Amino acid sequence: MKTTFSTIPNSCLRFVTLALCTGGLSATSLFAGTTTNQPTATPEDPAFNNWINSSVGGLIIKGNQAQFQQAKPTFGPVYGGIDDMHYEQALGNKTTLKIDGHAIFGDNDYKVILDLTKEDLGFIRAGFTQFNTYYNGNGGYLPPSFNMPNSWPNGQFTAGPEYTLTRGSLWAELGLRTAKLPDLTLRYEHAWRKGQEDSTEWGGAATGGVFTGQNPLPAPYGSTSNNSATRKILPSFRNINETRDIFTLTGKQTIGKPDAIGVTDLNLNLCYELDRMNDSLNWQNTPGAAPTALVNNKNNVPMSANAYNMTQTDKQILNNYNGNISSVTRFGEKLWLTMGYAYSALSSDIDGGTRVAGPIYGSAYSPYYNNLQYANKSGSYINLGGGSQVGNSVGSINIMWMPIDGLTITPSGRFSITDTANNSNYLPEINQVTTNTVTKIAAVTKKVGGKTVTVTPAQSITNPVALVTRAGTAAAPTSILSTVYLNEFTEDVEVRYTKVKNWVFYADANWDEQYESTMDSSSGGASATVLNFNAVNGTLVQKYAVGANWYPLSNLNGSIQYYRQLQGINQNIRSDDPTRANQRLLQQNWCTDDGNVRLTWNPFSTVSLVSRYDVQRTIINSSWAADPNQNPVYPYGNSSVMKNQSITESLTWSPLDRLFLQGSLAYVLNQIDSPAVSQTAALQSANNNYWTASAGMGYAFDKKTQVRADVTYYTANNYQNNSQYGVPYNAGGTQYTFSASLVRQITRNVSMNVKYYFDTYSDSLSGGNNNYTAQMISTGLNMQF
Amino acid sequence: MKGGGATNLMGKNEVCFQCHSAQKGPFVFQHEALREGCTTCHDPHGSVNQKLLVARNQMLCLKCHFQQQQNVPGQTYVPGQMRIGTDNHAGNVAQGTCWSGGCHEAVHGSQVNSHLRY
Repeated sequence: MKTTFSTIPNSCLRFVTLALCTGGLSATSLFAGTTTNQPTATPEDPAFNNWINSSVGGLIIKGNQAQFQQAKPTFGPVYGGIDDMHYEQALGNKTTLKIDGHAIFGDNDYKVILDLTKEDLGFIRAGFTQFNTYYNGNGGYLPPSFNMPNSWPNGQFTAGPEYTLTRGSLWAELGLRTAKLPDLTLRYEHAWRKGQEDSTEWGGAATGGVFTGQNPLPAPYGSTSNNSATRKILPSFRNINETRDIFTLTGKQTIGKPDAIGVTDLNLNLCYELDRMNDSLNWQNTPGAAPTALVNNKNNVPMSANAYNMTQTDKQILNNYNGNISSVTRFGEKLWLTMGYAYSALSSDIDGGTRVAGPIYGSAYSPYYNNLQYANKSGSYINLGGGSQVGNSVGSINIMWMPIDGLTITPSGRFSITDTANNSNYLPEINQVTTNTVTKIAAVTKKVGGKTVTVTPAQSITNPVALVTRAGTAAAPTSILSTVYLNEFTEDVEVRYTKVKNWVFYADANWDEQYESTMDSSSGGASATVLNFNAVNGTLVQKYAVGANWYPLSNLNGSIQYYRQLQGINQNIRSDDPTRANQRLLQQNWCTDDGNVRLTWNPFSTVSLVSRYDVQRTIINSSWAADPNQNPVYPYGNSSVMKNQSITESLTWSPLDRLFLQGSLAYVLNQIDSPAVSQTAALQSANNNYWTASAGMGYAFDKKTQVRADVTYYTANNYQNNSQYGVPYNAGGTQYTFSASLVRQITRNVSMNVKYYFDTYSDSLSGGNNNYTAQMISTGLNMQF
Repeated sequence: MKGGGATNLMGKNEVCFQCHSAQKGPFVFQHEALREGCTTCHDPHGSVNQKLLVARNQMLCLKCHFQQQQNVPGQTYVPGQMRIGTDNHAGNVAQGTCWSGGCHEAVHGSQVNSHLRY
């Protein structure tokens, strides 16, 4: 079980204690974005336009530190910095300088924005942002079951390290803002993502084979042949190295005089984006598993490895050009027209890529004898190349029309035409082949009495020394071409009526039609199979919604809404590959019903209640085929039912001028069910139920001192142990948090604060391996000037 | 962040692709679920599951990909089998999710494999 324990050294404890007593230290605050305590200014007091807030704090974690930092990216044991700062200064001649930012040292969390603006001319802006996100790299947990090996009495679990991913952005912007010229803005941004993150594509752990041939699945689940000795719960991860360079030019101009009939706001945007990606996915297969022995392996050829680490790299360069123009034209207050058109062109280059199995992650491909044992594992390949060309045109039109007072009609339409051409090529790895040559010895005969007599019959002798055909890569690369033509048309009409006293009624209808033509072809590779797939898809989506808002009293209002959405997909397969036994969609229909009710009520001037109930159900029915001749065709029937209900209630009460109390409760029922659950005990419905509760209070002792305290509670109880048949996935966990803060005004422009935060989390899905208890305490200083 | 979809100029997935460009593709073999929307599999407003998935188990895929097992013309129903296409996947789903390592890893699309295995 992974355990991480971090304590505050005694020297740091004394440091923090001193900070609490003096209130004179600055560092990072407990909660990002906490609002500062603003003084009450009198007419004679000067205004403070600038501020700097800083704090220092300590963090103690028992348990899984990575799990805590996924939600609260704070590094300990001591953290600190500038929570927030704002500085502005008039430089004369209608020019203003502004600087905003924060710097949380240790968390690698920085932000600074510079803004130099001159009225009636324009601005220069620049900024830098960087921060870390953290990921719990643990894999899955397989709880003990009656057929678990004796060596795993506590179940099976493999811990993974904490991963860190750094995101950042560096940008600069020039803006022209004059009365006589269009508003123009030129911007450049360089953004990046670098580091590692966890993945849910877990690798396989060999469970000793006890699941196969033993303890067969009970009726009606069938035979033991459906069991598997492998459980895919080993942690996996991705290496991320991505950059984006974005150049943008925007322009805006109003044509016509304000309030004139036909005045038009015109917007133009041009954008070029260059994306570079160099990522990889890493997972492992059955570490420690014995290799497959070779018959007659007298040449001592490496045996086929069942234990290996897989790394698949993905390298791409994308060039994306986009231009769009839009307009808003006002024909008085009762008729508006909005139109837009955009064109995008994207070209991508697959700049190499490999999928190689080896003894470690990132193993190099090594042909022939050096990697024989890892050849052709799970589709291995090298030298991935190719690219795509995409052209996309989008247009939209919207009208807002008020034919009579209180009635608003908004029809709108959109079209999108996309042409995509893709190609890829790669060299697949092939296995080594071991053969034993056969030596044929002719029969020995002799003449006896004029007749031919066989002395020794013909023989075929198998050479006991195995010969190996070298592994490596296929003789020719596999090449794939695909083209996709997608046309989409969307129409929408919304009607809103407000002339019934205290009521607003609305209705909306939306239709979306998609037509897609897809063609794939492939050649080369190990088998020189020609892939040929040609299909046409048609999709129709209809959505109809009605609703009403009710405002009977100043302290009472409510709303109710219902919609139904129907989606139908039909695929016509014109030709197909005779060797590719894919699952082929023929028809699929979705039906969604959704409703919600909300009520806001202030029964007393000091009490506010908000209640909300949401319910949604989606049914999916499908028909599939299984081979190119669409034989068999699986009958049309239910694939799944998805249900969601949530109820939330919140209360705010201010019994005294200086005291407020808040409470809230939310309960969510969410389930995805499928007839597949009745096919095998390895499958469970997807249950995502949970409930949360929170309570808070705030009290002002006087004009200078206030306290606040909050508690929250979260629990999900969906976990069911079916480890003897499969892997349990449904969430089961509980979390409590408590926070308290004290703010004290020292002078009119200086205040200090002390904050405490407690957080405990337990998780049955991870077998307790993701549990943690964390405490944070900080003190801060807020200064205005 | 301004939304997309319906009759907006920006498509419904473009909001997600502003940050998640690696999943945007294009791919030689596309996963049509992406065309239906990223929200087919992810809940951007929050989820109890990792990666904001609407389901953490095989239901994420089977809600669309499950095919009727019984009363199939020309095929004998065997209790306990779960055919996807012509392959019995009962043993596979016992190992883990559909997108586990070595299974169908390329859930957003693939440059090399029509089954979206890698």
